[in-house]
Amino acid sequence: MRQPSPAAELYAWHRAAVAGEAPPIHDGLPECGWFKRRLVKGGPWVPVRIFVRREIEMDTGELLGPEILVADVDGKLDDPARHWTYLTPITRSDYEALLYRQSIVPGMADSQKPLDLTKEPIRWM
Amino acid sequence: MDVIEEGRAPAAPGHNNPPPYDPDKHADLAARVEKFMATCNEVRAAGEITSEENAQHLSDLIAGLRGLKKQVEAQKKADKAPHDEAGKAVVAAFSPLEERLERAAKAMLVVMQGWLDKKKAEAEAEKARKAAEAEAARKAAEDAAAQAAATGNIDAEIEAERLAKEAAKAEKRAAKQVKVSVGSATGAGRTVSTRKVRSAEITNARALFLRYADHPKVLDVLQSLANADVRSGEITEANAALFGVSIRETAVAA
Repeated sequence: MRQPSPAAELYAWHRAAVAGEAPPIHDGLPECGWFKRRLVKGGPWVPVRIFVRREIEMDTGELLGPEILVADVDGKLDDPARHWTYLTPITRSDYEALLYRQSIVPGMADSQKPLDLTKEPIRWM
Repeated sequence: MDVIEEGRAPAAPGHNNPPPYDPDKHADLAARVEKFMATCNEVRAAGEITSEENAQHLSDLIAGLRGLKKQVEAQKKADKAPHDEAGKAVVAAFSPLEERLERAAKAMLVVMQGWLDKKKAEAEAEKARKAAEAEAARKAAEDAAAQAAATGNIDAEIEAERLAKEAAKAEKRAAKQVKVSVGSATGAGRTVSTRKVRSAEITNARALFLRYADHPKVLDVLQSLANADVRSGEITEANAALFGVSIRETAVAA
C-alpha cells in the first residue's frame, strides 16, 4: 500500500519556481501549484490551480488508488498536461488576488476574448 | 412635389453644416476620454502607490490610456485625410500660378535693375558736377569777400554777400543724397526703387562664436549636438570633461 505524497514534495517544484530558481519544465509532466495563463492572445489572465486528486483510506491513511493530477482552469477541470507549457507560476496570494480581480474588473470575466483596456479605465480604488 | 410628413419635427438649425469629422465616433471617444480623465484624477488624489497589485492595476490603466490615444490619433488621421487631399488639390491648382508670377516678377526686377544702375550712374555724375560747381562758387565767394574787405567798397560787399548765399545754396544742392526710382506710368502702379540690404559675411567663425557663446539659441544647438554625441558614444565618460560636459543618466517610467 502506498502512502500519499506529502504536500512538501508535491509543491516542491512550485516553491522553487516562485523563489526564482527556474526549475526545469518538461512537456507533459506538470507539477502542482498555482499559476496564471491567457487563453487567447490579448486576453485576460485566468487563474489555474494544479492539484492532486486521490482517495485516502481514513483509518490507515494509505492511498486507495492512484494520485491523479487535475487542473482547475478558470473554474473548469481539465487535463493539466494540455496547459502546462503555457502556465506562469504565481504565489498562492497572487492566485487569490487574481480570483478577486476577475470579479471586479469588467472584461476579465470573459477569458475567451481579448481584453480591451481602452473601453473602460481600470479602477481599483 | 414634396410631401411634408405630418408630425415630423422641423430640422434643427445647422443640420446642413455638419462638423468636418465623424460626430458619432468623436462622441464615443470623447466619452471614454472623460472616464479615463476622471479615473486618473482619482489616482493622483489617492497619492502614492503602496502595493505591487495596485502598481499592476496602474500599469493596465497606463496601457489603456496609451491604447485610447492611439485610437484617437487614428480617427483624427482618418477624418483629416479627405481635407488634406482637398488642401493638396488647392495647392496643386494655385501654386504653379504663384511660382510663375514670382519668377516673372524677379526676372522683370533684374531688367529694371539694369535701368536703375544706369540712372544711378548718371545721378552720381550729376552730383559730382554740382559738387564741383559748389566748390567753384565757394571759392568765388571767398575771393569776393576778400576783395570787398580790402577795398571797403559797399557794392563789392553786397556782391560778396550775394555770392556767399549762392555758394551756400550750391553746397546744399550738391550734398543732397542720390536716390533713383522709377514711377508708375499710369499712376496705378507702385514706384520701383533700390533698397540697401545689409548682411554679415563670416570671416572668423571662432571670433563670431565667442560673441554669441552665451546666446540661448547657440546653447540649444550645443545641447542638441552634445546629446546626440553622448547617445552615439562619441562623447564618453573618459572624454566628456574635455568637451565641457558631464554625462547624466536619469531613469523615467515608460
